[in-house]
Amino acid sequence: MDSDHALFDYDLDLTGKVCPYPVVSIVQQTDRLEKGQSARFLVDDPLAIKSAPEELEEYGDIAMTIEKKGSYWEIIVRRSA
Amino acid sequence: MKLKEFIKKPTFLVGCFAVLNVAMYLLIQKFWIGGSSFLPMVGKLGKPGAPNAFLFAFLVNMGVILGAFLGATVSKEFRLRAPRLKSIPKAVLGGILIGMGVTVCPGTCTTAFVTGMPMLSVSSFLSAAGIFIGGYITYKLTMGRCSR
Amino acid sequence: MNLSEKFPLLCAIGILFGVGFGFFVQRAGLCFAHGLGEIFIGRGKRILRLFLVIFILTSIGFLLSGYIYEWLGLDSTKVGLKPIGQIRGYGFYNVLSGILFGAGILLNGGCILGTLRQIGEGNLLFLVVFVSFIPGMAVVVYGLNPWLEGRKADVIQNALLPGLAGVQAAYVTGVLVVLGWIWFYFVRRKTNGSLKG
Repeated sequence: MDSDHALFDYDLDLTGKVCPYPVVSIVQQTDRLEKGQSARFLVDDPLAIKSAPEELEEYGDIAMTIEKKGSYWEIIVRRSA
Repeated sequence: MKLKEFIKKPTFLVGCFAVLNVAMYLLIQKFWIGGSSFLPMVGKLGKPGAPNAFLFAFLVNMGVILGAFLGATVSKEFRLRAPRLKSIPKAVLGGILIGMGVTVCPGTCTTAFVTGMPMLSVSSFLSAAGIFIGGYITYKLTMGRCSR
Repeated sequence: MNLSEKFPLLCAIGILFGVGFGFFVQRAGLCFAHGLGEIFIGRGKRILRLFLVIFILTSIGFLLSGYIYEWLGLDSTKVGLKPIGQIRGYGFYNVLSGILFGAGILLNGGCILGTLRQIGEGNLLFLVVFVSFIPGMAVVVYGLNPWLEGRKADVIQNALLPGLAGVQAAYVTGVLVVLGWIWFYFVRRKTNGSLKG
């Protein structure tokens, strides 16, 4: 299921960004999500996929899926409606 | 919480890391220091005569690279990535600042947070305070803008 | 069992421990530059958890090292709490070195641990960082240090918290460990994987 571009309200390519930018951007972007919105992040920093779930756990209404895609990971964050 | 899950928890893994640090100290009476261990790179091998701590810590840090490589391959997170041109200036400037910080006084994150504070060494609390101040300055300069 | 004479053997053991450090740091995803970033965006629970676990276990280990050596009948002056690095210039240079260091790690996203870890993970950008330590160090070692040598302010001393506070080390560590444990309780992970939406 290659999620195509139009599905997401925000789509950030954070590959090549050096830690701690990826997680900082993911968390700040998640703050801005309104109800029912979703965002996709492309990340290639292994640390981001370890700490992002733990950081976003505090939100009750956020669902996150992490999918490995070749040389990077695709993190999809959705705020429930 | 099955055991398989437990040994993957970061807090457990960091616990092993701490126990290992203490075990090294007990076995060879040497603790692990971070940054000032790179001084051999500029020809400072530490006090002559005494087994120089800088060279020792430098070799320990080379082991850390090997260990990280092992960890990355085991968890299939290893990815050979060539640096992007536009992130090199920041990396070089960051490296120079770290190099300077490390030699003005011994006190890096590793030395301060991992070994210094548990040793209750006052200089580590001072370095930690400085690290927060310096970090906040850069954070405001760089991250304050980029996320808007 | 006195190892400090045989330096090559000592280094070999050190490298083995280094491999262990690198492995656990990589698996746990420990990076203080990352931690500072999390704290500055107001999220720092994860790095606090990791730091508190390290602090609690290591400080107990270091405190007991003296007693363990006594119990084993070894020379306990070799271990026990030892000051790390010197306080230079009444602490001014320590804070200055921290400021330079903190500014550097947030800029390139890798403290010493993070740099070494990411080199091991294949991020060659951190080879650039690693190599650019050298000019920075050279500036201070050959520039600032000789100039500082003669100055009065270059007072060098090292002190331990218990010594400074005039209290037994066990009390200081004990209090800090208890405080750390309470703090850890407040930042522990409440939910477990509820995120898998």
